[in-house]
Amino acid sequence: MDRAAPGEKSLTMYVKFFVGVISFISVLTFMSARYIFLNSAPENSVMGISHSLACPCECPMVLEDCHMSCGLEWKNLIGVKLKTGLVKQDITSYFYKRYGKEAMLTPAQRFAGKWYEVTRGGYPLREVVLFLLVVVVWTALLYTGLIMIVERFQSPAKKA
Amino acid sequence: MTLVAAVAAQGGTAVTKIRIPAGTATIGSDTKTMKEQFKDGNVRLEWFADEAPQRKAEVDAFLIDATEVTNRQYKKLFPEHEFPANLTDHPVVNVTWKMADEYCRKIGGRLPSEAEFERAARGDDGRVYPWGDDFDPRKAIYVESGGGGSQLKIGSFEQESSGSNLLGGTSPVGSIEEGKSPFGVYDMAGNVWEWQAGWYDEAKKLRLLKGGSWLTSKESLRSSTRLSDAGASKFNDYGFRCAYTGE
Repeated sequence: MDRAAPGEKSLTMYVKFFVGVISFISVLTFMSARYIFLNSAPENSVMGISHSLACPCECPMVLEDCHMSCGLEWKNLIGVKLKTGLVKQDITSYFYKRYGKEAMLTPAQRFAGKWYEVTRGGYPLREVVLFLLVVVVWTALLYTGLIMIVERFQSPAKKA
Repeated sequence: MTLVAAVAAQGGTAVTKIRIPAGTATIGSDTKTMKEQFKDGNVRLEWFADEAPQRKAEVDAFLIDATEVTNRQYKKLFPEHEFPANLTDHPVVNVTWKMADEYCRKIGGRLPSEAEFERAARGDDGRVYPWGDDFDPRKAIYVESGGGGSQLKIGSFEQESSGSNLLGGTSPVGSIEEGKSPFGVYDMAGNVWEWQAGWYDEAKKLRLLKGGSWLTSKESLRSSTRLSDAGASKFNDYGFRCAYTGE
């Protein structure tokens, strides 16, 4: 196999670097968004509904992460309403009607709430390192996959 | 306006009753109207979908309390009722539907129906708020009323309800003259949610509340707003007023 010309080699490196950066950003964004916005609890459950509401206590948290008495009181209220046969939309409507926008979360408030949840006991270095390690592993997997795809679809002339 | 205001002894306390003439009540709100009303906020139409469609109903003449039932009035009939000393003329709160119904029956009345509430609040022209079609923050006790009348922090009541960090509380009944309805009924929007006679959903045993409270935002102050809750619920933003059959 012939050696690639110096210009061609650096172009490949640029492509690989670009794919690496894109992979890292994609994985980081996906994992952060998953933590902030997605909820694995069923929609019509206390945790599923409290994922959409703000904590009423003196903190900026999302209700699902709030364990203070006022937050637990709201969660209990959600449980009582679920037992009567109401669903997520009915219960969210109830909270908005009674408490207005104070009960609701904007995306910025949700982000702030999750950030507060993570950092309220100090900056958790171990968790951050662990999170970054997971991101790096997934980035490596995604990167390898993307490079394999790129190589597979490279023109035969370039391969040669 | 053909109004007759009568003063009657209610629980040993003089209470003004307002005569609401027979007429057509506008009940609920149309989806199109709500879309227009909510266009400036982050309010989802589906949260208020239970108001639609708007409909009309004929209502016989009836009497209704000019104000919400106060702690003073309630204590006259139920001496065991306890409340902070500075809230004598504030609406009674932490009452279940049954307690409200029992009080009204004891004084010869009953809780109003939804049609009666909306007739008394919206007048002949079916306005959005008791004072007119446009929102005015000075005309109701609601969450942005500058901390409410009593400056109470939630939790001051024995029956803690929300534990919120919101400051505020109820205000003395009838304290906002400009907020009264076309028939002269006070606090039909804000101060406390008012228990209604009928069911919101009988199968689920949910009772109906109307009028919004000191905790709600402006959308819930619209007279068409419907809140449901179990009749056994007791919160510091739930109160009531009585209505009386006949003229």
